[in-house]
Amino acid sequence: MPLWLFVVIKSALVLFVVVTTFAYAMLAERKVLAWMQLRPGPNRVGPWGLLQPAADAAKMLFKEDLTPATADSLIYRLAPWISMITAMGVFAVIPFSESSSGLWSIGDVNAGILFVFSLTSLGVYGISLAGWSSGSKFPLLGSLRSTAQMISYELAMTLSVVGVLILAGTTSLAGIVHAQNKLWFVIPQFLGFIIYVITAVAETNRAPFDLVEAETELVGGFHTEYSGLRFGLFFIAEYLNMITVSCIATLLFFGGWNPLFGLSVIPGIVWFVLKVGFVIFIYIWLRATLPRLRYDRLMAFGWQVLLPLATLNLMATAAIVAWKG
Amino acid sequence: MRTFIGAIVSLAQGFYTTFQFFFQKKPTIAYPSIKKQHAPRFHGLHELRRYADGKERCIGCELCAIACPANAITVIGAENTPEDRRSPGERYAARYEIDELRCIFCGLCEEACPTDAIVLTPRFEMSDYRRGSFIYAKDRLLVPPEAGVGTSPDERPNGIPSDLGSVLAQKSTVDIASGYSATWRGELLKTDRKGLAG
Amino acid sequence: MNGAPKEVTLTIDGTQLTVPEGTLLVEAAKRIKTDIPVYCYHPKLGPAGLCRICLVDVEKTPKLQIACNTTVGEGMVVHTYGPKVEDGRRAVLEFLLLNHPLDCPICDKGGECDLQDYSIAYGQGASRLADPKEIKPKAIDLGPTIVLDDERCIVCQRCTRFDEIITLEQSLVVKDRGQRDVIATATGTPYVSMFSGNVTELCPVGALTSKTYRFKSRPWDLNRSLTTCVQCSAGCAINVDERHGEVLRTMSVPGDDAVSEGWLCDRGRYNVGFYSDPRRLTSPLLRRDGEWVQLGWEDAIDLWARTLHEAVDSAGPKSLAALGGGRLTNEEAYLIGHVFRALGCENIDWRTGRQRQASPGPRGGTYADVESAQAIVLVGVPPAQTTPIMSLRIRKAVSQRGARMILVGDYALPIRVAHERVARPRDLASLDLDRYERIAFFWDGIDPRVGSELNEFAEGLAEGRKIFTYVTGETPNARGAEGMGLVPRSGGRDSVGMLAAARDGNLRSLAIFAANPVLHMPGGADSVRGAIENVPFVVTTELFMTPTAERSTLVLPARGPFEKSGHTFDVTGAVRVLRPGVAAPTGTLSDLEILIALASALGVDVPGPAALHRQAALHAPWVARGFGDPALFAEGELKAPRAGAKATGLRLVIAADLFSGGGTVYHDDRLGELRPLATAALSEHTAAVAEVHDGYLVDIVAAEGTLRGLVVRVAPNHVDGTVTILEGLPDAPASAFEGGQTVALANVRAARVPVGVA
Repeated sequence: MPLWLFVVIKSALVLFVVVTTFAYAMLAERKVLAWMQLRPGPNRVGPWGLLQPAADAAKMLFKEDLTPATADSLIYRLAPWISMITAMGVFAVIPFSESSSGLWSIGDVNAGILFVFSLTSLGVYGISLAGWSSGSKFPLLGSLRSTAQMISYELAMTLSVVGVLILAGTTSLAGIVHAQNKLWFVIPQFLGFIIYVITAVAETNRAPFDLVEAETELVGGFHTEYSGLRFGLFFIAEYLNMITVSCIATLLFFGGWNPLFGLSVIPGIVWFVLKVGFVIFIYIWLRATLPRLRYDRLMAFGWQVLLPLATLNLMATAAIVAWKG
Repeated sequence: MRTFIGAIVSLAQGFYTTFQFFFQKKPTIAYPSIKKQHAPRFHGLHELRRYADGKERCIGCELCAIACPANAITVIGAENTPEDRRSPGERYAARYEIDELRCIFCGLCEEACPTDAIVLTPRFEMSDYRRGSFIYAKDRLLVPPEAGVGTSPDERPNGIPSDLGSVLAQKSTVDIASGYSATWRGELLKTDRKGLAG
Repeated sequence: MNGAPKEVTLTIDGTQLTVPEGTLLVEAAKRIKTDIPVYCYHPKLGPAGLCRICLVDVEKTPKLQIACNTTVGEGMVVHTYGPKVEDGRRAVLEFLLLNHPLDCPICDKGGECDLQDYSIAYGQGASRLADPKEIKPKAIDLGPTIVLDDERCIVCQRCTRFDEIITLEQSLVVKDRGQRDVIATATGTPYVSMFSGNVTELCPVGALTSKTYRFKSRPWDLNRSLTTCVQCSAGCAINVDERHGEVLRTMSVPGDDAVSEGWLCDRGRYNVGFYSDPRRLTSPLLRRDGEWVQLGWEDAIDLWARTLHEAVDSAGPKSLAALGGGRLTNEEAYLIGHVFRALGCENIDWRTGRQRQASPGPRGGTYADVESAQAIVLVGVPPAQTTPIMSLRIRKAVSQRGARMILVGDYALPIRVAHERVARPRDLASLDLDRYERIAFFWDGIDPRVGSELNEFAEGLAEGRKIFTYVTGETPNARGAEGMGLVPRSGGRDSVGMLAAARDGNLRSLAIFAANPVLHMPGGADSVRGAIENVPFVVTTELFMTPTAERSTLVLPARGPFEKSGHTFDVTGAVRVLRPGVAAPTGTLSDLEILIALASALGVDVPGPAALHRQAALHAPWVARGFGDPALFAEGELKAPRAGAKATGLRLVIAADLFSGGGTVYHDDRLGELRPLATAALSEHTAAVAEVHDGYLVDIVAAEGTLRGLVVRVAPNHVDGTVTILEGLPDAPASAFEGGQTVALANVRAARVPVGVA
C-alpha cells in the first residue's frame, strides 16, 4: 500500500470519527445542559433523542442559504470554510492512542503542538472575516470582539502550555504523552492546567466567554447573517474546536491514553475517549453554571490575571527544572 | 483575599448546584404522549352552550365583551324571528367571536354571562399555523345541539321569565362540582388521564 | 313681562343660590351642578309629577317633595340627599321595578338607562315581590319605526306628552289604567309621525325602541361624533353613533337650542343606513361602449381634465357646465365655482330640483323669530315636508303663543291645527295682517312668480313691522350653494338653460356634483335624461348609481355628509359645522378632494385648506333682495301665474315626502316600510265626487303625460278639488308635471293593494 493511500484511508477514518463525535458532542451538550437545568432535553427524534443530530443536519441542509445584499460575496462564502478547515486540520497531528504497530494518528509531527496552535490561530480568520464580510452591524461587532478576545487569550494559553513543554522536553504530542507515564502533568502543572482550561474556553468562544455570539446582545454575533449549510459549518467548527482543545488538554495534562490506576487491560483509546469526554463534560458544566462575562472584565481578566499568572507559572517551572537539573 | 475565597466558594456552590440538578428527577411532562390531569376548573378554550331543547343560551348581550379585560370578544346582536328562533327571548348573537390569541383565559366572560352561555372548558390544544384561525366564531364555539343542558326559559310554565334570576339558579345543575365532565367533550379528556410524567 | 323677574334665594345642599321666581327645584339644582334623578320630567316637556323619583327633603315640610314640580321659594332649604331622601327614592324605585323585567342584558337601553343608573344608586337590590311579575306584551309593533316593550314601560308619559305638546299630533296615549296600562295610539292605527324617533330618546327606559337599531349594539360599543345633519336645509346638530364602520343610529343633541331644540325628524334620524350599503360606489366608473369600466382615480381625473381642456379649446368655455347639489358643503360649492370660473365657464347652477331660490333676502329670520311671530304665512310646500324641524317651531308658535296660521295654496298640513287658507299671495290682503307686529313668511322657493307676488305683499307690510322671511326649500344647503356663488353670473346659463343647450348640442361637458336632476328637475325625467345623453362627456359624483349617474360618462364615487368635514348654512343662514363621524369606504373621495384633484390636473390654483376654509366661511352669503328676486331668474319666469284651473279637472299638488328620493333613501334597505308609495291623495269630498276609495288604483292624466298606477289615499286634511302626488319617487317621477295644473283621474281600478301606512 502506497503511503498516500494509507494516509487518505487514515484521514477518512479520522474524519468520520471526528464528525460523528461532533454530532454526538452536540447532542451530549444539549442533553447535559438540559439535565442540569431540570429539563429532559431533546427526546423526540429516535430513542432518547439519539437521532437528533441527523435531524439537525437534515434541517441545516435544507434551509435556505441567504447572502445579504451588502455582503462581500466571496469572503462571505469563504469564511465558514476557513473556520471549518482549520478546525478539522488539527486532527491531522493528534495521536489518539498507541499500539505495537505504532502511533494512532494521521501524521506524527515532532512539532505537533506548534502545528495545533498555528492552525487554531488561523481559525480566528474565519470568524473575523465572516463578521466583516456580512456587511451588517451585529456580525461586525461580534467579529471585532472575537479578534480581540482570541488574541488576548492566545498569549496566556500558549504560555500555560510552555510549562508542560519544559517538563516534557519535547514538542511532539506523542512525546509529551510518553513523558507522563509516571505522573500526569496536571499535578505539577496544576496552575497551568487551570489557565489552559480557562483560556481554551475563551478560545473556543464558549460560555461564559461567548461574547462573540452573545445572542442576547448581538443576535448571534459573527454568524447573524448566516443560514443553512454555511451556518452549519460554523457550528461544526465550534464543536470541533471544543473537541480539539479537549484532546489537547488530555494529551498535555491527563496523560493521553495512559491508563488510570494501571488498568492497562483497557485499551488506550478507551482511556483517551473517556478523558476527552470528561473534559467536554466540564465544558458543558461551565456553560450550565456560569453567566456570561462583561466584555471589559473579560479583557481585564485575560491581560491582568491570566497573562501574569501564566508567565509566573512558566518562570517557576523553568526555575524548578533548571534547579533540579 | 477574603473576596477571592468567597468567589471560589460561590463558584463551587454554583457548580455543585448544577451538578445536583444533573441527577435530579425532571418535572417535565412528555406532553403529547402523556397528558397532565388539570384542575377541575382549569380555564381553557371557550364553549358556547345550549339548552336541552337545542336553543342557544347566548342572548348576545355583550356583557362578556365588556367584561373582557383583553378586548378579545366581539358580539353583534340580532333579533330572533318567529321562523328562526335561535335563543329564548328576543335577542341572540348573530356574530360571536373570540380572539383566542388575545384571550388571557381569566374567565371573567363566564362570570359576566347572565345565562351561563359562555364557559371555559379545560380544552387547551388549539395551536395552528395561521393567526386567523385563532379567531373562534360561533361555528367552533357553539356546542352541537344534542349537547344542551338545563331547561330553556321558554319551556317553563309562564313562558319567558321576566326575571332572569331564575336562569342564574341553574348554575347548580351545571356540574361545577364534577368540573369539566359537564362539557360535552369532557369525557374524552377524562379517559386520557395519565397523571404526571416521570 | 314687566322688567326683570323677581329673584328668590334658597339653599340646596348647603349652597345658597339665587334664581328667578317660578324656577323648578330640579332646574335650580342644575345651576349648582346637582343632579336630581328624574324620569317623567323633561326640560322641554315640563313637569308631570308622575314618577316621583325626584323626591327631595324640603325643610319645614312634613313629607318629601317632588323636585320637578315644586317651585323655589324664598328661604327654602332643600336637601337632595341623605337617609330620608334615599329611603323615599328606594321606595319609589321598588314600585317602579315591581313589574319591570330584569332583561337589561338584551335591552337596547341597557348601559344608558336611567332606571338602571338610579337602581344602582338608590335601589335596594332584591325585590320583595312574592307573586309572579305581571306578564305584559313584548315587542309590540307601534308603527313603521317604533317597537314598544310594554313590560319595561314605567308610564312616565314622556312619549305621549311629546306627541301632545311638541308635535301636536296627539296620537300616542296611555290606554287602560293601573298595572295593565299600555302605551298605544288612541285610534289603534299605527303610530306614524315624522318625529317618531324622538320618543325612543325621551323614553327613560327601554320601552320604546327604534326598529333600525333594535338589538344591533350596546351603547358602550358606539363611537359618537357630533356633526350636522344635511338631509334637509334645517341644519340640526346630530350625534352619529358608529360601530365597525357602520352608522348604527343617530341621536339628537340636547344643547342644540339654536336649531333643533334637541329633536330630530325621522329622515335625519333613520336615513343613515346607506353609508354602509354594499351598493355604494367605490371606484370611478367610465362608460365605454355601453359598459361600465372601472378606472383608477388618477386616470379618471386626468381624463376629465383633458376633456375639459379639449372642450374649451375646440368650442370655448360656453360649452362647459357644472351643476351642484344639496350634499355639498360650502367649501365644495365655492370650489366648484372657483374651478369652473377659472376655465372661463359661467354655466354654473345649484338648482337641480324644483327649488329655484334659497336665500330669503335681508329680512330673513332666525329659528327663535318664528316663535315670536303673531302670524305665520306658509306659501307653497309647507315646511313640515321640507324642513320638519322648522315646522316644530311653527307648531310651538301656534300652540304656545297662539300665532295665527295662514296657508297659501293647496298644500295639506300633516296635522290638524286651526288655519286659514287663501289661493294666492295677493289674496292675503283680505286677512287684516296689518294688525300684527311680527309676521313670518315661509316660501318653498319653487315658483318665482308666487315668490315675487309674495315679496310684493310682504314688502308692503314691512313698514313699522317685523317681517321674518324664510325659504324652506327641499334642497339641503341650498343657501350654502347660493351663497358660495354656485349661480350663473354675467350671462351664464342656469340649470334649465343648460339642459336646453345640451338638447341643442351646445354642451361638450357637463359636471354634476351630488345631484340627481333626472329625478328632480322640472320638465320630466325623459327630457332631462335625453338632454344629459346629448352631452358627450358627463361627470357625476355620487354615492350610488342614481338615474342621473346611469346616464353619465364618468361616475366618481363620493362621500356622504357624515364622512367629511366642512361647513354648511342652515335654512336661516347660520353656519353649521360638519365633522366626519364614520370612516368612508375605501376608494371614495369627498367632493372637495375630487375638486382639488381636478383643479391640480387642470393647473388651476386652489386656495390652501386653511385659506379655503376661511374664504368659504367668510364669503359673504349671496343674499337675494327678497322672495323671487329677479336677479336669480330668467326673464319670463317672473310673469304672473297662469290663469286658474279649469273647473272640470282637479288641481295638481306636488308634495314632498321625507322619505322620497332616488339616492340615499332608495338605497337604504332598513327604510323599506318608510319609503312612500306612489299615492294620489284626495279629500273625502273630492273622492266621493270622483267615486274612488282608499286603496283604489288610478292614473293621472295631464297634457304632459300620464302617471300610472297611483294608490288612492283619502285623507281629511286635503283641499277639495285637488289631488296631491309625491315628488321624487323613482317609480313614479312627477317632475314632468307642474303644481297647480289641471289633471284628470282616469282608469280607476278597485284593486286593493296592501295599504301600509298613511
